[in-house]
Amino acid sequence: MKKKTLFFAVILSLVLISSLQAQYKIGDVITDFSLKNVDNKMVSLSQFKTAKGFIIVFTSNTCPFANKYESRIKMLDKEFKGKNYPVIAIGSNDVGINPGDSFEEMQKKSKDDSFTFPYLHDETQEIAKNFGATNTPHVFVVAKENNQMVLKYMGAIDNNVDDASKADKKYVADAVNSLLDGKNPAVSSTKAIGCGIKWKK
Amino acid sequence: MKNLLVFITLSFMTFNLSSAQEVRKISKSDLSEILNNPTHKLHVINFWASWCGPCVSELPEFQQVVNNSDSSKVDFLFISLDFPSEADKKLLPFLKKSGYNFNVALITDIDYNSWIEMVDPNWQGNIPSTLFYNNPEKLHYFISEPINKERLTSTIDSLLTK
Repeated sequence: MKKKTLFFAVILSLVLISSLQAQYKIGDVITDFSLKNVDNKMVSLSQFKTAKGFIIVFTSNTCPFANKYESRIKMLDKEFKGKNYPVIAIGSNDVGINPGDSFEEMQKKSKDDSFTFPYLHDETQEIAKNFGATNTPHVFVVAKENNQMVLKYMGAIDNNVDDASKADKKYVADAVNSLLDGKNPAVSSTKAIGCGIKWKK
Repeated sequence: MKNLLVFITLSFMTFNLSSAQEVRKISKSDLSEILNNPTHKLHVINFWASWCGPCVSELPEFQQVVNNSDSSKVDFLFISLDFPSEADKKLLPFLKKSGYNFNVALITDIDYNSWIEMVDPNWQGNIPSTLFYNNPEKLHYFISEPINKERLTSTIDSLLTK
């Protein structure tokens, strides 16, 4: 009896999960968005006329895991902005739960740490939900195809959070380099460990 | 002078006592061995990290459940995903301060994608997550979100009576 109950509970939760998260899969066209940047201006992907794609990073001011990756996110922008794959960072944490991720704190972070890329506030958390972002940092690489942005890679930045120099799988850089070569990434999806995004209750 | 010596000796002893919480360092193959444990027992593994707020929040209730459980039937292990380079600076002081007496292991293989699916194929790597298993019974149940004392207790009870 208990086995049955458990079984139904599992099925029910699976159904609930799939109906709640109508998130993008690899190969899906993503919908453009408009979010407020730390300079108070609204930013959409369509404003980047020369972009061949984007490295979209859901991140956080406060998450120790995201902090570990901060310099690598800056490096990705440095390496790929000139190749028309700029970084777009997005903060989606609920400010009620994580006051350290407020818009003002995002502005401060961006200024103090000299971010060279937009840092957008996803206040309604709608964009994180659309993408299916779960943790920070969680990366989504999109590429332009027939004037649409198509999801090509999702997951972690690399395989060594502790030490960038010891990472022997640089998932995001490899994915973008493949796309620049006109190929799809060899690894299109990895699991991204990190702090769970703090959802509004 | 003699008193000072006694004091120093005592402080060392206290220090040693309070740092009794030992953290076993485990690799991916150790984890595989742990997951394939053939003993007929309910094993509960909680994946957590001292940098993870929701993980740290649920530990006091886990400790209560550990205290109230029959260790001949249920085995608990708390696998930390703390950054190995910061274990001495963050994890050990955290454990020392909190006084938990459950078993803690630190996974040193941080190529997470190489072992996440070993734990559960559907796990996205979010923590806290808790795995319940009993291999001879082919029991495998995974909860990939924070759990409170009531849910932890009822899950263990229902898995034990299977």
